[in-house]
Amino acid sequence: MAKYYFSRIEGKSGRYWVTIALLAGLALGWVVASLIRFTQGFYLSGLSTSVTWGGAKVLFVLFVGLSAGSLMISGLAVIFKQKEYKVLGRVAAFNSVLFMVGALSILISDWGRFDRLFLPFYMINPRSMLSLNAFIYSTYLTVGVLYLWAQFKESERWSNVMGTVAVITAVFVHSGTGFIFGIINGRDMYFSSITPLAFVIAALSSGTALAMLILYFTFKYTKREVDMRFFLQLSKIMLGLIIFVFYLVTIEHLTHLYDPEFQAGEKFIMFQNPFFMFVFWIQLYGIGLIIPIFILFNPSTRNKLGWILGASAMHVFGVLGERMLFILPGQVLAQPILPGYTLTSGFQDGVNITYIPHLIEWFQFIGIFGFLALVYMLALKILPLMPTEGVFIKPVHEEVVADEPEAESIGPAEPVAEGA
Amino acid sequence: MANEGMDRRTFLKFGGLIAAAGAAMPASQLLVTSGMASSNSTNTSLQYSMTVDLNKCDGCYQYDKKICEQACRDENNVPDLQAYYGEDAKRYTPYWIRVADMQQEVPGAEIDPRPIPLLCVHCTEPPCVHVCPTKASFRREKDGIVLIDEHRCIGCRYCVIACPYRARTIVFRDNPVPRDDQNAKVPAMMLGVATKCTFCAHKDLDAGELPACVEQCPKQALTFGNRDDANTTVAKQVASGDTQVLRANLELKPNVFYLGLSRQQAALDEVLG
Repeated sequence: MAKYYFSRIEGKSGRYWVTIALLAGLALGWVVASLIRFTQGFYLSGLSTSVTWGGAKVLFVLFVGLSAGSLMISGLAVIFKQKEYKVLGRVAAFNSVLFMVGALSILISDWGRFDRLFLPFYMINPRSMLSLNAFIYSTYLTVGVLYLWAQFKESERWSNVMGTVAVITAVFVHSGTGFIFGIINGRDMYFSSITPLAFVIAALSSGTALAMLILYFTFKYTKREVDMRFFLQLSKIMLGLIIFVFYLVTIEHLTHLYDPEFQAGEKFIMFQNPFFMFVFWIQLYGIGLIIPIFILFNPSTRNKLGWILGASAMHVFGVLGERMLFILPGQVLAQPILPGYTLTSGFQDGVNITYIPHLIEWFQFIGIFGFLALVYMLALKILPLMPTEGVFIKPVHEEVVADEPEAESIGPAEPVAEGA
Repeated sequence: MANEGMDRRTFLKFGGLIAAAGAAMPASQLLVTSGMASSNSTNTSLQYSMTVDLNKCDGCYQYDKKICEQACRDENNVPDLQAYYGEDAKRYTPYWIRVADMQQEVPGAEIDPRPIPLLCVHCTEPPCVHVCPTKASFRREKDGIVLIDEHRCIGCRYCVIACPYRARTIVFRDNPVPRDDQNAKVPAMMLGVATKCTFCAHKDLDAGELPACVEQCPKQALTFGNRDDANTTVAKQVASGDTQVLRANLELKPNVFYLGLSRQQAALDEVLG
């Protein structure tokens, strides 16, 4: 097996430091906005007594999912014996830890009392999914870090062991996150046994999509070469996952449509509320599922890097919509406290609530992306994450090579190490 | 080319923080500190319950404010933020009890709305307690009242999501009423934590004191007492079989019962003339 070499980026260019400064500004915005919200109260946000989980929770769920995809790419080498992927192992494993840190950061900064951060670790309620998740998430982070360490130590044995453990833990993490919502039987829109499964699969598909985008741009901007066949192979895995997501989402909504109790909520999403109609039909089904499936199936587009990356970006956007449909309609829709009656009160009973994030939340949402990008860029400089030389793989499927007579590659013909 | 590895020191430097967060407590503790036993006990000899007689409640339309709502605000320091900050504050104004108008949905008929007081129903199987990650929400074993330990609540709002009665909310904003003008017997509301009706647990309920809403209802529509004592009015009303609970299908065993949810014969006679 070929030996791979890894190196840090130099990170001396002016452009690098300007980007760092910009991202640090965004991250600071997240910190300051969170502190202001903490000291002044949730009234500064767009939340209400009805919609009490907002955009921060959507991002939390999205990030947990994105973590999965990165881990999958890293774990391909271990679980599915795709040795070529070892070269992406470090950066992908790092990203999976990073996204989990991002998920927990946005989750905790959204708590009313995040000064009580460690309470869940010693006031444990085994019946609460959130309480269990505190342990599942921290185990996942620990395993992820150990997996990364094993790779840094270049211990193939420990990489394989920790990679396997990490992938198994990930299944718990994503099922556990899905269960947070799926077990709420008091709200029709949440209660579902498909939720955890749909959550895992959409996590893998969107995570793979975003990992491809991140890897592409990292290779490009650090002037490292990568074989396009990586993306071709990953796009085929992603296509399978997207089709599975399409299937799960469709059967869940179809089943709900047949049940009178769920019908009101489904009609609300599909035909009544303009915002959720857009999210459901255009963002999720159109941009997130159908167009990417078409692109990745169509012989004239499926082997072109630009189209693959476009499909990836669209799918991530679509899954963001799916996460919104996961969390928001169950709260926006008036709760049927008294079925068969219309309720009205000063407490907004019986009313469908509008939730529009306020400025302070936008600072948090954009800031957390800034924070993650900042950590990623600094990590590239501090840790030997990226392969030094051009990355090539041997052709796995002959027909793929036939489709692609000239293997396209990113970057210059001669590998330039120590880029950026 | 020499490969850049990573020494242990560097690894610890950057990975230590994350690893520290993952330094999970031994799993055995999970089992030891199980909260199931305390939160699910159903055999209390004292179970405080309330009945709401909808045949008596007139919605206080003749007053500026609903008497029970105001009594609750004054007793428990629940601020009427909308009154202070205007219309935008409506979305985050807390209510521990509210009087809603309910209108039966009958195709082709316009049925007059009727008032219905809504509050925490103090479930015997409370989903808020089940989902709380820090056991801040708990069901008091001695009398079955569901309470929140504000000092243990992290403000995650899972309980607000899990409650099918909209009985809970988060404290969105500090109470604008100066502490000196608040009821000193009840702590000031804590920003960022969950809040809800306590059945006025700070009062000496065992000695016969009543929740503020029950005490001040001008129509005596609310009745409070120990449902496990067959001699109490509450127990008799429930035993009569005329009461109903909200969302009975969820099997949460609520302890607030409604009389006259379906109009009783006397009320029907009145409507039909």
